[in-house]
Amino acid sequence: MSDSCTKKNLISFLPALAAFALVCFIRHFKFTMSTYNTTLLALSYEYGFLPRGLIGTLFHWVTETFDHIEWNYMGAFNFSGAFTLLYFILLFVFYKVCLNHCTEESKRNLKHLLVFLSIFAFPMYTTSVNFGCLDLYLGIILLLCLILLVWNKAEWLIVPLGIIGMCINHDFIFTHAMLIGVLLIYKLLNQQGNKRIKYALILLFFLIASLSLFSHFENYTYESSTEIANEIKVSAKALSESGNSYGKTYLDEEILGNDLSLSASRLDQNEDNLQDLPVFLVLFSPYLVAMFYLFLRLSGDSDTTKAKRISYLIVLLGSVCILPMLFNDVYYGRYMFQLVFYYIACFITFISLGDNRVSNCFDLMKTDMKKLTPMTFVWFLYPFLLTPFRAVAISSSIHDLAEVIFTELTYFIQP
Amino acid sequence: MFRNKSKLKSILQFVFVFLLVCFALFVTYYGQEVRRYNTTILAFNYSYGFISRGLLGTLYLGLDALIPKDILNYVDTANITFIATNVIMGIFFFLVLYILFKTSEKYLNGAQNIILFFAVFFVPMYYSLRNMGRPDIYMLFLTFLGLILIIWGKMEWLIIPFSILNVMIHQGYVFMFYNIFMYPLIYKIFQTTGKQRKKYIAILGTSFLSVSVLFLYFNFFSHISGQETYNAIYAMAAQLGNGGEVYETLLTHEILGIDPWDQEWPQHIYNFIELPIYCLLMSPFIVLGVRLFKNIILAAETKTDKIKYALFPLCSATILPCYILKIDFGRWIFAGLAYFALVILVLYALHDEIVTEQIEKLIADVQAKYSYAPLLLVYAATTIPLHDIHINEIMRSISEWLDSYLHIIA
Repeated sequence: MSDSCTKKNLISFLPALAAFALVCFIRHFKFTMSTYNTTLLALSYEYGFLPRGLIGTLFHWVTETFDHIEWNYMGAFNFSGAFTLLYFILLFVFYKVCLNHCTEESKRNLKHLLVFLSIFAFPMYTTSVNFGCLDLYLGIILLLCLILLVWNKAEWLIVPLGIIGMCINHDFIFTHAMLIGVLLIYKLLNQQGNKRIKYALILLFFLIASLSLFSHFENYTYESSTEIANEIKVSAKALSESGNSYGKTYLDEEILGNDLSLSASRLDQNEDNLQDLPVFLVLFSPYLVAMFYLFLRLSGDSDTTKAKRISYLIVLLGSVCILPMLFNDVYYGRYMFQLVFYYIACFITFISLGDNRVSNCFDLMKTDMKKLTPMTFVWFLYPFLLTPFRAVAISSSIHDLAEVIFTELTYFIQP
Repeated sequence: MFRNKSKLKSILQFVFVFLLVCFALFVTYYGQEVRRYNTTILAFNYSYGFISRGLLGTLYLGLDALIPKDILNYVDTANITFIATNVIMGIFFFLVLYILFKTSEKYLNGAQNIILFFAVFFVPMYYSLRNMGRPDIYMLFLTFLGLILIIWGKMEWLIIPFSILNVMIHQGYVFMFYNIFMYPLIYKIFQTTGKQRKKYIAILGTSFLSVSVLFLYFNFFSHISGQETYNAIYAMAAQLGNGGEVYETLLTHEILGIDPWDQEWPQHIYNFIELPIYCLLMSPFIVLGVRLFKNIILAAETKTDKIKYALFPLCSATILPCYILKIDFGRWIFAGLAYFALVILVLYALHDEIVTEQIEKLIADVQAKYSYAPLLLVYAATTIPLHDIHINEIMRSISEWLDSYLHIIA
């Protein structure tokens, strides 16, 4: 391909993805924000250094500082919309940084991976259940960290970003921090001298800060919890779409400390999770198998150093950090998205950091895929049809199918 | 057919992928309901006279008479519709297999791409909420059968009764799907000589004349009036509808002959807003399509061949009256897509070298030049399922949002 063709190709790649992002947004965005997500904006540090209070505190500050953002549903909606836009901008900045840093030979594979990531990442925070959820802000923090890691500049900022992430939602340590941690370990194992010490220190401070904050938030008890719950209830009602509802489950469980694990709705949600998960694993099994063989190839390559082999193994196993969330909470849709994002972002980062082994293994994997399925673009189409990921339900289609398999034996019309 | 092992392997691999994609499309878009338009139309039957759209209802009444169970209720109507849809999907699958086995091995890739592109629109269209049980799928059923005969080259005269039956299902067939028979027949007229050519001219002429006469009859002379008849059909439609729902506009238009233009004017406004935006959204495919046809016509050597290939896009214009007079733009867009996809697939099976060669070149060119080429089919999938009045969900969101600010309709 001539130089002018390559340049034109590069210039058109990101605009094409931007057009796809716009279409995904319009398709999935329902102009509504759930009551649970508006309730979280009612939390604030005026009640103490409480968990999940950072975004609410920021929202309080914004409504007090800017007259045109009011303490009502539209204010919450616009606030979330602004951060959703920021998420998309940072996603594209991440793509651009990766494309600028990778080698010419690996560019095509990198682009395919970016397209594959976009299929999941673009619609995720535009659906009604996930618009304005705390995971959106965690996603922003994660993208900032990834950009710094690929850019190789100001990587020390990962520590304060990790702290911000923990203040947004202390589940960050299980859902998002694993990606940052394994990439720091990857860089640490593949560097020498002062740079290795640098990454070791960043990783150490990141872990200390995250674990300390996790311990604080997990053991946080509210003084006069009933009063706080009542105040938050009034504030949350003002933010809801109806003007009169609030996230009762959150207040009951997190602030009043009621144990809802045996409540009827929680048990239903747990049942949904246990039904959705095997269906998801079966439907996505081709990708799990492909990923497993990719890691085998990466580790088995005779040119792979011991340090790289260990770092690939850590990446493969690093996703087990999410297991506590699968046992303790019900948002399987968000956790599956994080797992998918984790693995794809790892490969993207490796290729961007110049790990040609990963790119070569991808070439071999694509050759194998072409032998199995002559139309390789189906590997992109198929997951797109079964997503976007939701919150409790993994995705609407997976949940519907799981209901049919486990609950109803006939898939006929319901009068 | 089975001697070429590499071709068989390629087809089997594609079938696996195709079934997986169709399964994912079904799971995602199955609407689990048959809406009132599609149940009301089953209340039309020939006991009231030779009325338009009466064939399906007549067959349904016949089925009710044949089987011991009373099926004149919503649940059975919906279940039978679901079974019928699955059977028609099975016929489509058979057509796909037949086309693949007839296509030359070197052009299989292109045929498979076109099949998947069409399936992405076709499968969700007729399983989704708005269109499950729509008469369009029964017209496509007979169309698929006719295409199998055209490719086989035997009993092609059956296209005449198939076309007639399709008009009896819905007189809109003349504009929507008749061209799927028309162009392959025109193509065969150009490709053959002597008795064969006369045969195809006779089939085309007879089918065209039959459907035209029937269309005129159903549109202008078949309306029956009388409150008693209206009430009887209304009662039957209420029996078949979910919760007794009836699509009254259909009854007043078809039975009493009342023109719904005034009532439908707000929907026309939505159409005028949505169509240009949809064309902009689908512009990558429109550009590729224009490029393809330009190259096909340029590649044709003789003047006769150039005319033959120029008629291909021209025959798609039969849908234009629907765009002007009626509001179901989602269905018209699907009809256009179905025409191009199915006719191209027939040309693959008939070993047309020029069309197949140009499609292979186009696909190879796009895949080589654009690293985001895998996104093309995914991008097409963001626009599904096509609806009826609104083109799809994206267009509905945009037009309703625009209307909330501009108050065009209110």
